[in-house]
Amino acid sequence: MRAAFSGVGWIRSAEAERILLAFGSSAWRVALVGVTLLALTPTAAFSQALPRLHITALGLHSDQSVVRPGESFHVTVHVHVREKRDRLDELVLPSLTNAVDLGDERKRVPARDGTDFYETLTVAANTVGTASFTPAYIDAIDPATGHGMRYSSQPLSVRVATGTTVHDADSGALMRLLRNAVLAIVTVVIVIVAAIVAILRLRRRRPRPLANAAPPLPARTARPMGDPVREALALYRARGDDASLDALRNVLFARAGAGPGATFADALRALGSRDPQLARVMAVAERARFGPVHERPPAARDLLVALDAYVGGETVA
Amino acid sequence: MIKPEAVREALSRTIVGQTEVVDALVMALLADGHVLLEGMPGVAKTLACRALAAAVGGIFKRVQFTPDLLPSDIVGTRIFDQRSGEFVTVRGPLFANIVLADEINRAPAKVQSALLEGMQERRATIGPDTLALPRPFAVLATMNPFDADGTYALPLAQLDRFLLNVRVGYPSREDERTIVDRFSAATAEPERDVATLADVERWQADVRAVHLNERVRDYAVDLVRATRGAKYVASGASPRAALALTILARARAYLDGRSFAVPDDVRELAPGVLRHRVAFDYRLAIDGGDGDAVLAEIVAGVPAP
Repeated sequence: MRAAFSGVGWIRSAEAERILLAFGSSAWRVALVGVTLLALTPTAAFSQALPRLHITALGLHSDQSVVRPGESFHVTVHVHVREKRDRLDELVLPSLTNAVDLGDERKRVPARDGTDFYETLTVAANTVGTASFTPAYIDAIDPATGHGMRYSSQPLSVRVATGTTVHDADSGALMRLLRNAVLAIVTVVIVIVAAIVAILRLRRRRPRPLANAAPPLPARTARPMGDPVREALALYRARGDDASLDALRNVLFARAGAGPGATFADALRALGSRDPQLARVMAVAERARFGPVHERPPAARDLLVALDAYVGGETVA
Repeated sequence: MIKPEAVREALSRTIVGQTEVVDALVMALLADGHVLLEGMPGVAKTLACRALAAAVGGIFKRVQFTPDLLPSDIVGTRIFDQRSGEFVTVRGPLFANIVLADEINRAPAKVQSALLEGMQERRATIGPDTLALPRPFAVLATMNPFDADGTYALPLAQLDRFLLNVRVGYPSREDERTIVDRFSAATAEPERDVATLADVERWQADVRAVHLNERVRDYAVDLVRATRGAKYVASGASPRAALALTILARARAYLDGRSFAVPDDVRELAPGVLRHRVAFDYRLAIDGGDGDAVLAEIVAGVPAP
């Protein structure tokens, strides 16, 4: 019997049965069953302690793809659960490599189809290289199967480069810059040619305009994607007043799927987990619009940075 | 430095579910206001009030309102001391930081007035002495909306003194199971001294410094004005409602860790601020409507900035 419980580990059930049969003693049988139950108790308690959660989204995102050493940036863990929850203490945050945690902020956003939780970490990279983040995860019981599961986000890496100029960037970044520049030039040429063709076709179809008529509007097809946001951003950048900021908020809310007269919470609900970057931009816009006077200039700068990143389509792997 | 979030968390650990009630109590404390809790018996109204008082380390007094209650039972009285040959003032349960007025509508108007005067003036008069009530001071009153026999309905002017009216509903099935598991073996002991009264006074000062943008202020005013003359409404909310809405919006922002209020703060709090300040006319009862649904429609009809 002692050999069956030696340091090798717990005996398997078939072996146990054989040993029990060999001994044929009901006292031994009771003792073995008792010890086995005791051994299983922590596991059962652990699974009972897990919450039952429908987790439909668990993402890890950064607001920067490339940072400099010492520069702070934000990493956001987004979780969507179908349940109406006030807290999500079960969420295990990612571990950081080559970065230091400066603080975190939790936000709970009730949604029609459950609850969204946003945990935003403010971090700073240590040295040149890569700042990496292990996946965030939650241990929970899947209500569909009744089994405990570990839901994980993807891992995240952010490049830490020196300096801010092209010379400082590594050769990979230089190549990417050149490739992007070539692509941009080709796109502009195609757009100009398309616009000229469109204008020539319109001139052929329409009678000659009167001498005092207004000049024709530029063809809308020549504009790039995301035009309303770009236009509102350009207007806000040029004027920087409350009216242009209101217009910009309205455009962002509309993009999120919220109608006129909606609030930030409405826009977040309409957006769901489709576009976390847009949610962040809207949050910054809220601070820039309603924040106290002394906080508005930095908030406005943050908004321009966030919007430039957003319309520039920057994403992090 | 302790934050009000700590009080909210302590309350959440004591009270199962009822997050709206917990949030409302903490926000009202931050806004230095009084709360009227409406709900069926046994839904943790009293426990929530006790837990709040325990969490901030304040003096808690409970008064069970009954038809034979007298104003002196609340405010206090003067008793002749035979040894000194003088009358001495004995302070009533109103002299506490958190006063729970249980079933406030069971006492006659004279008693209600004595309490509500203390709520408004923050002081009480006992014989020739006018005494200031302790700081911070909050009255949390409960009312059962269904069991109306033998009750004295509070007039609108007195209801207006309450910053918030919170409907305490039944817990969810999951929460109810937790309640049974947790409290069938032992009584609920609230967490004590999570913060101090000095912390509460500091928070209240901080809340008053939270920025309120003029468009958020205008939104609050527009919401209150929209209640006047609306369908099914006999009398709309007073300007005091706009004051309550803006101070509570600041408190909500502060509780969320923001230095500024946003339109969402105002909109989320509007039902609780307006519910007891709006009188509905007979047509609502004839049509089988619900006051909260009317208010929700009014709020939805005012575009947010």
